[in-house]
Amino acid sequence: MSSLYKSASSAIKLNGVEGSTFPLGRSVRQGCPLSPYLFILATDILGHMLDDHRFGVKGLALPGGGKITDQTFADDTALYLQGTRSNMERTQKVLDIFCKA
Amino acid sequence: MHLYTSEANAPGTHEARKVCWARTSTRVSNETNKELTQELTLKEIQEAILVMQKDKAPGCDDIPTEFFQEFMSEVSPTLFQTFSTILRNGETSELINKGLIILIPKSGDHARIGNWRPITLLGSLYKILAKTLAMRLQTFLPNIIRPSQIGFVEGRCILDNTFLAQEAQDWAEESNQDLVLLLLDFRRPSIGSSGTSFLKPWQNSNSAHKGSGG
Repeated sequence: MSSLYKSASSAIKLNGVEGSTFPLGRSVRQGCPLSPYLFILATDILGHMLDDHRFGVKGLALPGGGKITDQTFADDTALYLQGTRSNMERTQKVLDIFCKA
Repeated sequence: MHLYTSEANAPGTHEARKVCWARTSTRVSNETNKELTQELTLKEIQEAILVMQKDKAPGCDDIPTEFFQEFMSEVSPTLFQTFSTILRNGETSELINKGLIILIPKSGDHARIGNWRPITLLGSLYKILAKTLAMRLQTFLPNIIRPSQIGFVEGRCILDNTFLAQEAQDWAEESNQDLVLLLLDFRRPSIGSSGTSFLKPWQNSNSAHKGSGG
């Protein structure tokens, strides 16, 4: 897979004229059948971080003793968080780290 | 994943990645890894060709998918050879891996650039190879991706999400829990972007209220 991404390039075609080819360095490729899967593999990590007790993010406590923190459809993500200031700060920390990575 | 390699050298990126990975409890087993990385088979390629969408604009090679479907028995052995070589050597040529970005008109005034949507047309060889790999990867995803992701994983249904969102809010009220629903939006990384805070609305109050932000 990395062989496909390593040498990916594109050119822009305007009014029938093709511009020069440039390499693609980031993100998932538009129109590629692999893109959705690579995307959810990468964003899945955010969910793991929300679950990790060391970050201590509190979600919605469920009757059975479990909790939910997130629901996602493709790139649409909803976080369910306990509404306290300290919990918001913990969540912010997780999001900051995830955004940086 | 190295999907965002251009930002690999931004300050703090490496450390942040290490933290993210350390907090991710899922690992692919050696056995699964072996199955994922074993050589392609002719059958896998043929299956991918058959499920490719018809009636799509061709890429740089000008060959539509239908050609490969019509002459599958003739061309698939050659594709098998080519793809195996690509994966073994770890590189493709520009001939295969070049996308063509064109503009599709949206509704509204076409003198405005915002009313044109850029899309990438990929060559049929690239699409067949990527589809073959995607189909292989797909079978393992239900065991890898957390249940909270509903999209692109076989056997999961969007209705579960709408149902759960409603139930969660009802339960929060019933059990007297303060619930904050935070809706996130993933954006393409831009150069020099810095994290923004969603905490501002809470700056002047000690207790949070039910609501949403994003």
